[in-house]
Amino acid sequence: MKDLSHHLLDILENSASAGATAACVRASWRGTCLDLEISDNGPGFPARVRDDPTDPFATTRTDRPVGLGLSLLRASAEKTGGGLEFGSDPAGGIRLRASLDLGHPDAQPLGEVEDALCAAMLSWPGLDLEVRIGPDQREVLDTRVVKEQLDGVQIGAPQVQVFLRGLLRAELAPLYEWAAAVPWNGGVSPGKGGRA
Amino acid sequence: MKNLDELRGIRDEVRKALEMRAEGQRARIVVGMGTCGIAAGARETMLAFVEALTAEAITDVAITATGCAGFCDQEPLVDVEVRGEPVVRYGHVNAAGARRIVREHIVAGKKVEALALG
Repeated sequence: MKDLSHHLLDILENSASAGATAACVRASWRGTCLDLEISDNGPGFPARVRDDPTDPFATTRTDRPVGLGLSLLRASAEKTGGGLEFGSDPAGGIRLRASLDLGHPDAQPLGEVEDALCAAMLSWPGLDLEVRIGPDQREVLDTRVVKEQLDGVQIGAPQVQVFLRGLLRAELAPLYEWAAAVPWNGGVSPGKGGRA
Repeated sequence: MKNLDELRGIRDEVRKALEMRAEGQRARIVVGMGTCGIAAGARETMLAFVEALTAEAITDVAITATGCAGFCDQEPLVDVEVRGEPVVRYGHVNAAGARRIVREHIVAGKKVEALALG
């Protein structure tokens, strides 16, 4: 994955394909370290992969015996001196926390988080997303509220997504401002988010 | 969340456009959004479709996603399903490819041979 926002999209894909109908993303930071916590209301990790969900050879895939998503995220976190932790959500789904030091020379850039969220809304409209950021865990997105406003119009309608992308980019500003101030980071602000 | 007043305006526009077409969706664009697709740039491809459809003011084409189809080396994979026509599968579709597919296949009705698989 070229940046962290692509990992986020990949984890949300796991939630959606496991049958979750809601996922919560929380980003918080301290110093140069970012904590990214993702939880969902899906069935949780099945017994087969529970021992080590990041083992690429323990996968829920049925078409082939290798799954790479979580192992790639773990590698990205560990190479910055951070890691990936798993827990279970009270609601029964998964809860995972990636801790990354964005000041580490091997850290990936943050990338465009709003693009990951828009792609998730387009790809899995049935997966409700709640996103909170910062020390005060301010809510930047709640698709349930958006859907209420849309009153039957699809959240994936291109015109709706163009609007939400702009809105989210503005709402995520505190995260981008923090990341941009971290020394040694591959480029984090919207529009130049990574080594494309 | 804030600024949702504007969203209600967009909702009304989309709804009006939908009501003007009794026959429903003209086409569906399906982007491979598994780990392989995402790593190959499927997210950028999908958002390029969003932008291109919006720029052409097209409201009767749906964008959706599917998982890994097993042709990971051809990702980003895109299936274009125009109603009444066979599905066309495209491979290695980047943002420029997405814009081309909208222009040539969706608008002009002509399959983009250079990107089509099989």
